[in-house]
Amino acid sequence: MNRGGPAIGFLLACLIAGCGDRDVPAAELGERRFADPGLSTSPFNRFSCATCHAADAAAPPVIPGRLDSGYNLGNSAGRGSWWGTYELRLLDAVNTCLSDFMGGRKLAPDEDAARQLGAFLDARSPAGRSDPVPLSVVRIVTSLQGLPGDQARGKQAWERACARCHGAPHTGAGRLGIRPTVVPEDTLRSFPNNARAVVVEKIRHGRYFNIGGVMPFYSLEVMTDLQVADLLAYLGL
Amino acid sequence: MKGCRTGSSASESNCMRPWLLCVPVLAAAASAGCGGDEVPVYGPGPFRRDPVAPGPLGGKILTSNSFDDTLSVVDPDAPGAVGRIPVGFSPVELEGPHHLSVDPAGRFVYVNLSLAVKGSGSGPHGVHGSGELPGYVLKLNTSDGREVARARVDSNPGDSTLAPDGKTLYVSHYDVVAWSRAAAAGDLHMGDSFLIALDTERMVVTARVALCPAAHGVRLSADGHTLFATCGPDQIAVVDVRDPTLPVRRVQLPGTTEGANCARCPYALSVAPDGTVWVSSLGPSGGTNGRGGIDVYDPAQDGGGGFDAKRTLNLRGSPVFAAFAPGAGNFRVLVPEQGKAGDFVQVLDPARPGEPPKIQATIALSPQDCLLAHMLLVSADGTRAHLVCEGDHTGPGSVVWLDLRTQSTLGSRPVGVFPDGLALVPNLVKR
Repeated sequence: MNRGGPAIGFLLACLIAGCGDRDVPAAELGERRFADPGLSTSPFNRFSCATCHAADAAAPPVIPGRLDSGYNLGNSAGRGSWWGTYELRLLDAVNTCLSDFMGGRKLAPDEDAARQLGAFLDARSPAGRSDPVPLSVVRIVTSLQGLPGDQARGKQAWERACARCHGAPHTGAGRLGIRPTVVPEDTLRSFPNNARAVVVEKIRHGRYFNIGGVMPFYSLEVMTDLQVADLLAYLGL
Repeated sequence: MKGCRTGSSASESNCMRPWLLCVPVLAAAASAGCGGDEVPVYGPGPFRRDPVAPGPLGGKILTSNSFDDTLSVVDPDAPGAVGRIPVGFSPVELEGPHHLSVDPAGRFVYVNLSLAVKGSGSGPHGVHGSGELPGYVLKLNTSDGREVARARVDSNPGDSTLAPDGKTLYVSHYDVVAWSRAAAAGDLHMGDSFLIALDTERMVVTARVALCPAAHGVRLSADGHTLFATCGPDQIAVVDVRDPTLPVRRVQLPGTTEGANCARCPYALSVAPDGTVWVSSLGPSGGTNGRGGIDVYDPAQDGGGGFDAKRTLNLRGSPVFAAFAPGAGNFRVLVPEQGKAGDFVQVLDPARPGEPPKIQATIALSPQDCLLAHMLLVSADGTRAHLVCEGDHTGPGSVVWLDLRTQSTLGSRPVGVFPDGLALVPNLVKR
């Protein structure tokens, strides 16, 4: 009698039955999606959620020194409203990013990507209920002409806020694909007479207010006017 | 394998068997995942901490808040907590919900989105709020306040009104920019705004007809056959909506002539229980200094309809959207009036043809309760009214509860910023 037969049979049965399938917590899969530009259905998208957001439950909504355009999503699931109280469902808030910045279709609540991302945000929200975070949009943009900036601080601000998408100033080296502009050269070429104001406008309005593109905007909570002035000084505008 | 024999007890444990070669291969394949998948393990609903959706909205009063992109939800029976429904496409830009209409069956709310909020955002190459963009009408479900459909209309959608069967929504467009341009070009009719008819089931435009410059207040006769709209150059437009071509007739307000500017500046109108149309005019220069008034159009006059010049009532301030309450043998007209002297609700006896309406009472509103009274709703039994007040356009506006028996204020609650529309959602939907 061949006593090896049952062992082989067992292993084959395992393979056929998919013995390699592995249970993975949805939150773990959601964490990967959080960092994956493939969350968007757009072939042109290079952003992931992590491009603009941290997800640190131990940190406040605006993490000092990081200069993310989006708020820290740690403890975000219990905020009760998002996007300055204009979204009343967490998935709607996620979908606003997906459609406005990442160019993809919106997720339905019952699809895996939505459930996993939701599970990740839920897992990073141990605090239960938390307050909505204000979102102050600078509506009327000026060139901040009277506000002198500091080049050294501006360099630091560039590295924290801008470099991840625009790469190095003047050359664009290391930028996120070819869509982000080379700053300030592209701006100066398109707007030779008011490049300074246009850069402020892009920072404050991003893609909104009929500007277009996919750039997020920086609210007053995440970037002060002085920090904008520092950036302008660093860029020589 | 040579020399290995089954049953050879001495050597069996050491003897290589062919199948043994397969074991590590299969085991490695199995442990490597063998092409298997990661299986997500879901816990409790990931979005379970979302707030409870606002709604159902049956039996509630809604205001459209044009400077903060929300609707406020108010319980007409109790001046308690006020709910809030954000509307619009973008949480970043102000898009100006401007007036709303409610389906007679209580299932849907239609909100004009003007995309023209003055001063809401500008920069060197991006502007917003110039009133040059097309507007939209949003269709919201009253079960949870969520948008279910939208339709694109012209720039600056102003007011709207629904056919009695709820199947057609008529939208006016308060396009003063086009009126100014046409006046500068010397051809006022180039500045005509359009009346749009929307099929509310499919949310598509079924008709679009030139109405008049800067049309605003729009209402239908009780039978739904005739539409009335205010027009910038001191006129109303009268439209036979039974005719698919929507023929328009313009009727000048008494004592005025068509021009590039307005003398009375009609802005709002309401249809009374007797079929007469009460036209509220803000006064010269859009009511900047008051001196507006009421004119009464009678569709039956002279067989074809006309204004009864003797029924004009001039006011100190600017009257806005009137409402009607049952009265002894007749009805009463309740007119919100805003102006430098304060805010009031004028209670009018409509009087008879050939006589001016008479002011029966004036309900003075305290500035704490109401700043810039705008629109009224009267309860079915005529004992109470709800008034929406614009506020100072930077902070909250308000809804005021009025007791019409004692002609006094019962209370008020703050709502969103610059509310300008008010509607009661019928509580008819069985859920």
